[in-house]
Amino acid sequence: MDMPLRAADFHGSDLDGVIPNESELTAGVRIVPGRSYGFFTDTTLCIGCKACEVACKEWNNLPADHLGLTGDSYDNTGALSANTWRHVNFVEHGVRDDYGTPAQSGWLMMSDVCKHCHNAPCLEACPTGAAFRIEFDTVVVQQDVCNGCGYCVPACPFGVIDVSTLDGKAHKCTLCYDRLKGGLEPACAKSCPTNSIQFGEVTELRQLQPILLTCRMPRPAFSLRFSIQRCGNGSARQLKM
Amino acid sequence: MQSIEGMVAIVQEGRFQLLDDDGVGHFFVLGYHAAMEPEQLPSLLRRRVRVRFSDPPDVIGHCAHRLLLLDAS
Repeated sequence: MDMPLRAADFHGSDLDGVIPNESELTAGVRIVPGRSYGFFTDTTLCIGCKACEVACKEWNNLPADHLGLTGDSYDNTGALSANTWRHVNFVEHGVRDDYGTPAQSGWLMMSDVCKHCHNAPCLEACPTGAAFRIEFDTVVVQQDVCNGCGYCVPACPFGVIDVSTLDGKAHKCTLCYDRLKGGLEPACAKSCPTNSIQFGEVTELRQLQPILLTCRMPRPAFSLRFSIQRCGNGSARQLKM
Repeated sequence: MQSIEGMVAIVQEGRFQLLDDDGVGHFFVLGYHAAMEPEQLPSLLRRRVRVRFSDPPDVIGHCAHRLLLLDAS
């Protein structure tokens, strides 16, 4: 029996190399060193598909961990860790307490990630300078400098950064530093099927937030939550309505 | 301790993927006992190596403890 042709067998759309400034096509923003970039996560659009988690692990070559079931949630990732830099948090309890009988549709999904704070506590707590701010104004942990002291772990107010038990170094989201350098938007934002995770310049994302707030009227059954996961001014914060 | 030979296909910080002779990919994290730093891993790209490793619990992957370069170039 002949095997059917696969997508890889059709070479008509093969590219010679990486598309220059591909982020202009996929995210509508050109990535230029010296500017601030981040995510705008609209949790009302998140469907909890976890495509961002998978894309993050695939691109960054991160191993799967927390094997097994949590037992109290349909979310079996559990939490952010040294091997999990994106986590779609399932808010399953107490969502509809103030409005009728709870139902499955009462779930809220919130894709959580490092906020790359302007005044980053992890960066300030790091005694070796392994955590540093890169040219895209995001915070990255330099693996060859990190000595695994773990001071950054309690310093992070969001529980993002973690020290791996395998290599003894601190790990967290890099906002796909290597992709940014290549003109690509971060893997999680590119893979998001509902555009819940939007990548762009922080100044533009901050302008986007009030527009979305006025466009979407919150239904009484749902609390409308937005979170800016990158703050250009002041300290890191999450905005909720 | 287990051992495997193959070609280093992908390197990302202290993590790398090894393709064995059957073309199967194996995922490794450079352990803290390995006499090697993450910045040395990119030099092993597309090189043939032998890896001694252990299997940590609760992770789908291996922890590399020793890497031996097999090709002479």
